Amino acid sequence: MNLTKFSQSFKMSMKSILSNKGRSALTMLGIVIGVASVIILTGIGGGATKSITDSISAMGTGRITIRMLRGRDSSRTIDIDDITAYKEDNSDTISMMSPYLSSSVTVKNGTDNLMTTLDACDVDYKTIGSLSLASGRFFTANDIANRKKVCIVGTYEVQELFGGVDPVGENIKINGTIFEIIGVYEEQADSEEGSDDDKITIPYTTAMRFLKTKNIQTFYLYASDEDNVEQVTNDVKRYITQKLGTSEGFNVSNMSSLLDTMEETTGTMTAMLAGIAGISLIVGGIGIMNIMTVSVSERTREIGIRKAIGARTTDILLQFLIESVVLSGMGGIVGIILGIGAGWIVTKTGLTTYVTQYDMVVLSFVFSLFVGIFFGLNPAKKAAKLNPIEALRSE
Amino acid sequence: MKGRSVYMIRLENITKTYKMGETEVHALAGVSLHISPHEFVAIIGPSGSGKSTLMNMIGCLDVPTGGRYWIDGIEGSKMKDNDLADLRSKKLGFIFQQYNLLAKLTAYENVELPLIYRQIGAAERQKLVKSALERVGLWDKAHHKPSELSGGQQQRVSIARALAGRPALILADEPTGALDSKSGIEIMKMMHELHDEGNTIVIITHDLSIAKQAKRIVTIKDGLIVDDADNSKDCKGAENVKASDLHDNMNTAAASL
Repeated sequence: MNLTKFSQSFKMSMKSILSNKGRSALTMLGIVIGVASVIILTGIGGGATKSITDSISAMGTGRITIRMLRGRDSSRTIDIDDITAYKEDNSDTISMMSPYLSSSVTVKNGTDNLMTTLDACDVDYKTIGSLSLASGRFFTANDIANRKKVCIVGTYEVQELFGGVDPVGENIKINGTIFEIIGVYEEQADSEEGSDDDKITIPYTTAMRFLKTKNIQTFYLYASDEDNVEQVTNDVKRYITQKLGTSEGFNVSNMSSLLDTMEETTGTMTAMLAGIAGISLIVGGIGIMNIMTVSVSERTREIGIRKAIGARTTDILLQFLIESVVLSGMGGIVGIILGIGAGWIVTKTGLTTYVTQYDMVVLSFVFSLFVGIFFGLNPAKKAAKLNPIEALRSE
Repeated sequence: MKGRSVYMIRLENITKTYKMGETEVHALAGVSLHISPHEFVAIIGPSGSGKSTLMNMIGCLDVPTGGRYWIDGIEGSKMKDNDLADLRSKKLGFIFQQYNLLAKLTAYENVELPLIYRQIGAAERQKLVKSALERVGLWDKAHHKPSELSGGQQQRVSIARALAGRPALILADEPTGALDSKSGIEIMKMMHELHDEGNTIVIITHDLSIAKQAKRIVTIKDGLIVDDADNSKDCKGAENVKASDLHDNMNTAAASL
């Protein structure tokens, strides 16, 4: 194909598109909406993935969770000593360890009381659980060893039981036992009831006696090298399996496997949204086909003239094909501008997390061009096949 | 091959049959015609005579049902669409009754279009367009759209378009049919000039006064050539006979409709 013919066909397409601006705009509308919605929906999907990934990463990707499932033969279980020993033996790969248990309790200050979640852990849990304090201090090894009756409270408790005044140094009753408040957590979720701010934490040693618990069900480990977490997880699994003589009744998981699962889920969701938006692109293509068909019959005479003065079938085919591709391509570009613009507004206004998926921008544009070719081909063929004599005769 | 092409146009026993429902219409019933280079021929006949079909055949727009034809020594009768398009592009310049300029293109672009389809390079194209528009005296209107030109001017642009590619044959279908008499005379004057410059010209018309200006008049009736007369000499007598003959023909054709 000769470049002059190509640029001439392109020029003719532009002339024809521009001489019928209103109709061209309406024709493009379907593609515009299609491309824009692919970009916006995948942007929202990407945003969802990012916010989930971020919150999981914030918990620490080196974290490994061991859960002993209840209802197992109590003679075959793993206790703190086993895990502690394992951690000591593998101190090069495991940097931190904390047992963890939780329960529901009533807390009381004077006459004010409320139900909340009690959790209990070791010193390392501050890092493992990414906890940060607004005031006071976290547990020390001494608190743990001596089963001190000390606690750290959430901001909901501070608000409800202490009227918002920093309660560090004050006493609080948990299920009737007096504890000293040594720290207050940083606010996480507007101090709402049942949120991350509604909790109270005590040393696990205190909790075991206090709650009369013999066996701890949950342990957290932290890998020294976050990239090595998969290996450490498998090692821990193997160790417990060997110890129990079975691979059932417990569960060892890490954040990266959770991350993978979440990413897979949000990926599926994003793909589904993009697919739905893709359908609107196809509908847009049908719109182009309709208009191109009308355009061919309106321009029968023009086609006849072109053929009489020497246009080949392929020249006519190319002219109409380029016209439909230019239409869909322009629609695609407007759609990209709209889609990215909408993303920019969403990000600026902080409506939701939004991450423009640039691969989808490219993909939707390429797809819109493909739609232009696919749906433009039939009308273009019709034009190319016109008999010049009959075409010249038409008005 | 080239050496044998004594004729610019050579039609041998051309037939063209259309099926209209059950009945067959013989638009051309066996036409043989030879036109040499530098001839100025008028093909005349009433409507329905097969004149348009003959023009389509000479213009390489149609393929015959039977018989063969050659344009400048190249056989067009067995060609496929794309090859016919190339043949038209290389050998023919069309002038239509309704000018048939593309409304969205300027005069310049209209003249340039067949050269683009012929894949002539940009520099060469510019030269050809300029000389063609200058030839018809419209270089100053090169960037006007057809709608900004008078009928006569539009027809001159269309002549420039036919001329630009230096065709072997200029084929004009009722070139003055849509024009007022003054513009018509002007266009015919130009056709004469083009002939004097060595172009081969075929005019298809039903207008005897136009036909009479040609050097040779071919009369077609009912799909057959009924008369082929040399008009280059002053032979008033024969001409009068032909004229009355033609009027009879036209009357018969009108009556049969």
